[in-house]
Amino acid sequence: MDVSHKSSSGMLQDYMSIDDILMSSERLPSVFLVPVKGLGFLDASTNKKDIAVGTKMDLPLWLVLSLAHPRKKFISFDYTKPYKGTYREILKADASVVDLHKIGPFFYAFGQQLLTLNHNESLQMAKCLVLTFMERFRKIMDWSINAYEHDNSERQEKLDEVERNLFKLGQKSLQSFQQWEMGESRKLSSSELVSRHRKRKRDMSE
Amino acid sequence: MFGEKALDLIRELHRSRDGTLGPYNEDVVRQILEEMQILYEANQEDVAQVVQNDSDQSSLTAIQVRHDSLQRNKRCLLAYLYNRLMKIRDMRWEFGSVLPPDIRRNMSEREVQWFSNYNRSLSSYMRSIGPRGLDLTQDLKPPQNVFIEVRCVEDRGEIELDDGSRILLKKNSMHFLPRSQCERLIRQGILKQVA
Repeated sequence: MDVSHKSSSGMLQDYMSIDDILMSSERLPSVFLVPVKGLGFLDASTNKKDIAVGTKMDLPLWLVLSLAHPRKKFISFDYTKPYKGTYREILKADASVVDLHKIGPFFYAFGQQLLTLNHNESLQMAKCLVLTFMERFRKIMDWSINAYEHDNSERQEKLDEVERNLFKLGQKSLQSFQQWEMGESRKLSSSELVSRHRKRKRDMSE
Repeated sequence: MFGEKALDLIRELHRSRDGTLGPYNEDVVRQILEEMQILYEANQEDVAQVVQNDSDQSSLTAIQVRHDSLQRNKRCLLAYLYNRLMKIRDMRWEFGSVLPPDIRRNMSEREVQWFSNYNRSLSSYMRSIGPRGLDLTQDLKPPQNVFIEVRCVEDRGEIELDDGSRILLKKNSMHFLPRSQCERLIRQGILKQVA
């Protein structure tokens, strides 16, 4: 019953989701189009009391979603590297070799959030998200239901969070099937939470 | 940037997501509430000034930024509390109605209260099912046999079963016992079912 690590599967974020909160804390390069009175201390590069027009700052997504809203226009922003032209070309060339975890563990979720804002590259970026996912998905499905985690841990490293969750699902269903084959599913077992707790107690008392 | 402490709380949750409950971080929660107080008061001031002086709208952006920061802090606090409660709830089903003392130590006063309320609601619900009540935390898998063979994983001394008979739980001892008596002990990891 793990609700905390569900994350957004679309334009809406899950308010209580830990993953969504972490994702929306990632930053975007922004420029202030209006002055901001009294908040100069947020800009580390200056001692001024106010933020001047034209100030460049990296702002977290949760703030950009509000300030860059088409009806407000307090700031302008740009995509980060993974979502811009050069990287899109790399992904188009061969999406499956790219380390999506390194370039931002929430590649798809963050990209989807960016689409809720106006940006002149949003159409290309949207296409890129879809094509990238399509290309990588096949391999992930194959790996996750055909081999065990220790064989796959290296491959898992290059997956972003959405892909990792899919991978885990595949592994779980592989495990369940194998347990059923061996008649293990009829046996009662101690819960995972309990086993981990006892293990930690044992480790601590040693 | 505002909301940094709040993000730390969430990172704490993220780090412990596969483990058991961490200690309730009273300190950081208080610091976040203090930041929210400062933001709130600053906005009260600016809004009053904007309302009074119609021609001076220069504070509007700052008000927006502080407002968004307040919302962000609120979200992080609520998510922190909520996710911890969900974990505590799950523990009722895994550990039973009495939690191990080291877990209980990590809960705040209110969380302990919440757990006992949850316990009470669950019990009264279970009692209300059918003529004699039904323990929903038992038989989580369809029962196959009346008696099962189990091995004891650690020394627990003597325990008494429902029918009055006593068994000695010594490490590695094997027993042939009614399923209903073992389920709880297996779940807690004290006994292990053998093929």
